[in-house]
Amino acid sequence: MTPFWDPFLLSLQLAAVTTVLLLIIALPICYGIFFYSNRSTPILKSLVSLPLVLPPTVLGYYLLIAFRPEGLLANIIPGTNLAFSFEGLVAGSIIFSFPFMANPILSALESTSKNLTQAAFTLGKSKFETFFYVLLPNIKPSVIIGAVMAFAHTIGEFGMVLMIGGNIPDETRVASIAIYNEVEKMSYANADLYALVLLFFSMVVLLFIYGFQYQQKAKLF
Amino acid sequence: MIQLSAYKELNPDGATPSVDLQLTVNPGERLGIMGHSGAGKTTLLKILAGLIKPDHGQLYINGKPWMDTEKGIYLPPQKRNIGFVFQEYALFPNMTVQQNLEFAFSDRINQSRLRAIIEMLGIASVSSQKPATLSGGQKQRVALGRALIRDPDLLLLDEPLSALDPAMRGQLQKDLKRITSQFDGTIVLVSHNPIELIELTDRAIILENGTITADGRPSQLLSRGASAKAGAAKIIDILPQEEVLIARSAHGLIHIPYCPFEHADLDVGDQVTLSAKNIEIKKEGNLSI
Repeated sequence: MTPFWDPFLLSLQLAAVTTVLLLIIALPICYGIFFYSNRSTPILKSLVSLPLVLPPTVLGYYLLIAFRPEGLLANIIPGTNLAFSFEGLVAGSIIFSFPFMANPILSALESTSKNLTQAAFTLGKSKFETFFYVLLPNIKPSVIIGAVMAFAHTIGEFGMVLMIGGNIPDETRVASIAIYNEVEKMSYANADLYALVLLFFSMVVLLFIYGFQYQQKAKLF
Repeated sequence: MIQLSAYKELNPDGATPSVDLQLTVNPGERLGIMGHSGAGKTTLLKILAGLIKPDHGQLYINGKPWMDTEKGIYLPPQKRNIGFVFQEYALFPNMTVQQNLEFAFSDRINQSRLRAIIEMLGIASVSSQKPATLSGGQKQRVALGRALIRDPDLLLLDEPLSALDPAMRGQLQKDLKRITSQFDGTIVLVSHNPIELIELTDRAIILENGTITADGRPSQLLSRGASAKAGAAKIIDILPQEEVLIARSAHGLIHIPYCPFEHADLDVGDQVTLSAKNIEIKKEGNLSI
């Protein structure tokens, strides 16, 4: 494999790890927000969606401050330094792509008939059993779409990655940073290729999502 | 015996009406609940099931407290041994008919009980199908089977026949009567249809604005009133929009099944049509009440 593809491989690796970890983290959080709705729910939902409206550089800046050797994270876990590392990028991507995973799941949970949940309760099933055996299988398409969105969004992120990861080859130089790097070097031919591959990838992801939604609708009618 | 007193303010979202109820139901009794949309019928069922929590009140089942807000007791629905048939059945779409029934068992699947329920409901031929492929009548049977499988103390039925077309409703009403007659627990049934209540229950209450305004035998409740017009109006009051009852008169008596109304202007053979919109007596000259 030529060095040209390395940033793409790193992007794919970052997106894959982020998506798997997001699934593990987002599902229990969505479960909590859905079943334990109270006055604090709007605050939690605002926090979940915050990365959607926050400039990526702002989030990246705060994470950089938290991840540096003398930052908040190092105070909690001494010796931790996630700044300018792949692990730091994963942590940042999880926060940054969280709404893309969580919002489709939450919307699907909220639009599922309340009677299904109540029917499971009247059959003696706990909230966890209801979530695992009744709700989750019925919102599977939304979980898949959430995962694909989170994966694609991680591939495309730039501002936050640049802030907390910098531009270190094979460590933090993902595809979106590589374009920036090539433009800075005025190497437009390479920048063109990187951009074209990312454009193609984005189109494939969107085609998958809309094709999948079309297929799900066709099943209903 | 069910002893309930419950008070609940109107929900801020308006989804749950306010209720102020005192109700006692004898063991094994089949209680019908009538009333307008928004009168609190489903709310009453859900309070019994533990799906709606009143602001204050008590619910004792055979002396055991399921809810006593003064003592801070509130059993969640999972801890109440109930069967609930929802209006739209609420079958789990991801499971087959058999899996829907198996899901109702608390731990180990009791195969003989499962087979008995499938046989009693006549759903063996569809047991491997998903709910989306079933007819309304089949869905209703599965929902009933799922509610009965745990042998509940209390069976709650929320308009179990309302989602069916009129042709199917008659047959399913007979099936429901046959199946519920084999159930020795207490049944609480919500219905808009007076005939269903007369057929399936031995006592009925009328709910208006969250309070009980009448309590008695279903046929008595329906024929109360000094005149045919008042009596008929009471029936019409609780008929859903699409329901029409047709009856023939004999010597001043309107013969609606189970609900005789006297009226001086009627001659033998006059046809009386009651619907949600109007009352009409068809005779030569088309006299209307």
